[in-house]
Amino acid sequence: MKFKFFILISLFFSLLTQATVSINDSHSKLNFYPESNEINANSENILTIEVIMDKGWHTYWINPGDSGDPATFEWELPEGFQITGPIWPSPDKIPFPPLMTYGFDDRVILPFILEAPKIIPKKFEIGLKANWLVCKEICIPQSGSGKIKFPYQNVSSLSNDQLKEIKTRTVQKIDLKNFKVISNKNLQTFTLSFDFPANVYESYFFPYEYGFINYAELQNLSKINGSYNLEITKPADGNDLNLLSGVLSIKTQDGAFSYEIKSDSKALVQESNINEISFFTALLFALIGGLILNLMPCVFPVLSLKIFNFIEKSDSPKEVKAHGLIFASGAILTFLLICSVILLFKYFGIQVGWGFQLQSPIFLSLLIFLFIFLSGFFISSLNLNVAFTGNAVSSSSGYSSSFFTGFLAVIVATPCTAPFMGSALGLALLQPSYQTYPIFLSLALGFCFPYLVLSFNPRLISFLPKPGPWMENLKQFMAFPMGLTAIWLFWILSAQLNRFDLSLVLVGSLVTIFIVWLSNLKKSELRVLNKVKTLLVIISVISLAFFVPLSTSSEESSKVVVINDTNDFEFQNPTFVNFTADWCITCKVNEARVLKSSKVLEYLDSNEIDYIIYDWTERNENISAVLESYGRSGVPLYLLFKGNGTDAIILPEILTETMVLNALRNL
Amino acid sequence: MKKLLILCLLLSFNATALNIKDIKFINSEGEKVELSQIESEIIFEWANLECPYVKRHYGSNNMQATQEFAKSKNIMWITVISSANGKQGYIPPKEAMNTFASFGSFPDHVMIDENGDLGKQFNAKTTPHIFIADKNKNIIYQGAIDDAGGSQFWTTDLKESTNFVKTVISDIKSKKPVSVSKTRPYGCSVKYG
Repeated sequence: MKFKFFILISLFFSLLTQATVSINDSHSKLNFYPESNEINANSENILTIEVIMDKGWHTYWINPGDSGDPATFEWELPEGFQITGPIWPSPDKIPFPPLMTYGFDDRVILPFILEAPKIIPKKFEIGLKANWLVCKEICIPQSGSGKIKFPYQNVSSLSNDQLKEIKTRTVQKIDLKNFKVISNKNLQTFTLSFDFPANVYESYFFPYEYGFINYAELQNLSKINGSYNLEITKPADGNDLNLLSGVLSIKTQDGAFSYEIKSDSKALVQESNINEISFFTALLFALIGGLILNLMPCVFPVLSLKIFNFIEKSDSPKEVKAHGLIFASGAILTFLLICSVILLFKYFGIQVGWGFQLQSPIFLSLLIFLFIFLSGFFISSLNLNVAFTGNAVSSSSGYSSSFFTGFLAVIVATPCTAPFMGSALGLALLQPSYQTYPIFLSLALGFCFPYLVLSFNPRLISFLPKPGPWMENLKQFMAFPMGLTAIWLFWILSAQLNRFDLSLVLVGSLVTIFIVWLSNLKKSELRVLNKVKTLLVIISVISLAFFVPLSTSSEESSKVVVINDTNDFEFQNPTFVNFTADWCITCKVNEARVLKSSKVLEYLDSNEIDYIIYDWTERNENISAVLESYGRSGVPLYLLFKGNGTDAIILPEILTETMVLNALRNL
Repeated sequence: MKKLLILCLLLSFNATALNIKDIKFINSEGEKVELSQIESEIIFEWANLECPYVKRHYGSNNMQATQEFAKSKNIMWITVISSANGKQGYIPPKEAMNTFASFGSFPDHVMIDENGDLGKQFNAKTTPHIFIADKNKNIIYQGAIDDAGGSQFWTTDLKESTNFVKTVISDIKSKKPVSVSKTRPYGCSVKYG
């Protein structure tokens, strides 16, 4: 009896010790779980290894990222057996700024597949030698070996917790719908595009191999036309994307999913179509755009002054040349300044584009005051020197005024987008800053080109009309386009402000006229009066600050169609989409000439094509995001959707009726 | 103006290749080192003597042998420790030369880069991480010391692995373009602050 009891006890203890095969090391242990007590002959059996680390320690994935190494396993198998694995589960990001590593915190479960031959011995052993690295702040290699005896004594089935861990981390080998790898020409990024039935709030791509991505860079997820786009930064000399493979992890409200991206589907890599123009084309476009910018109605009057200046000085080629150069440097510096401001905004994560200033009521009101002032200045007998520098020296010198004219010309040009400029600046703003600057520089050079040509070839000036009283008359006439521009800006502002603030801006405009009147007064013989005059000018200029509205205060709900969610930018019906803003002249011209023409409207109506307007007059992050996704930084943008969530056709910035009708017919 | 534009472009395109001519630092002995003043090629080794990977390379004399080979070919060897003060691998500058000497390692300079500036300029990620600059101070090789990295590291005999540093040195000395310019660095993460 006693003897029997002893046997029972020892059996019990042997069962206990056999429960799991463990390898222990300083900061972690490795447990081994077979699927069942018996290994099935002539079939695949699953063996599972679990590495459990001390709290806060981690081990690495097959691609460890910037540092670390994955675990390795050496098996000693009886003859005829084969083992493959581990089947790596989907890892977590383990960041160590400025580095990024991939791995598993606290524990990882690694399945292996054991292929057994047709005939297997009754009793056999499988030997395991494992090396794995665990890190917290510091790294400590762990290792050990053990033997697993079959038939196994006591299989402990995996806990629910372990099963859940396996389930959420299992990499699925099915293809994602509409999966594409898009290499973004000219950009240091590529995009993984895919469809997903649930709402994805986070996604990350873990490459299997070194050399495809910069691990530490953020991966940006956006949803466009119903597809998710994950933008990933590649290293400077990244590997061929055709060889890309890895795991795409997707997080939704319902849980995490991961999918294997394989390297064998070579057809996957497509060239991106949104940035079709190259850097050099962008430079050329910017140059042409800058040239055309001169003819824009808001810029032309200011520039005409420069030409008058040339004509007046046509007898002194040297001076003309100097003024031309100084004017150009003023303009170029201002363009570069604007570029820097835009880059600064971008750096702080605020999306802006060309003309973004017109979404700010402060800037708009200041522009209105400027245009009113210019208007008053044109109509009066002041000259620029007196007006801006307070310096009554005759206009024969006044280099500072030339510089200032350059600055002014660019400031008044900011509301306009000339043809060609849109796509060039769109590209410029998507580029790293060392490419943005050259494109802005090219725009500036295009803008200055006519004056540079004139100033270096004084003979050309002789083709212009001779100086005379007509110049004064024409100058005075220019007050009217300037005034009109002010009214147009006021109209834009009216969408952003309530009546009270609008009236304040009008008062400010009146004060501006008062300043012009004061400056225009003849010098008095009484010194005191002159001093009072100067004082009044100063007070008036300062008082202008009180008439500048600090924020938008729209009264009525405007006609803005809101994009609540950029992720939903897709249409089920055939749709014509118009991105516009009140301050965008090109948009307004297109609308007046083409989009509001009866032919186009009738066609849209009779063919049941939806017409949607997105208004960017006021800053709107979501519209900016959609514009950017089409490679644009500003309006206009015209998109034509066939419906059913298909991609958009992008129409040019300047529309003609025939072009739009043809595009609509081709839907 | 056109020339200026072209110059701008050239500069902007060159920005991708790392040139270290303008880099200056104070070494562990307090001397100023200006890379532009150095005539020879330079090998930079990122180290952390407490990192198991670095330990293995020093313990098997592999790193020292590589350094000797470089010095026999008149190439300068600079060892950099970018561990922040208080993190693993940090050595006070005064002790640096002696510590390395006790391992049988005699770099021309040791740089204790405790604020990580030099490491971030080079984009050094692991210990060890090797960068080799040619005489014009352009980086012609960056990555691992050898091909022992990855899963088999702990069991491989380092003497039997292909030493990329030696390969590049041989290429330089036989005036050939380097046969390998970039590999995956492996090891512990640099312990930046």
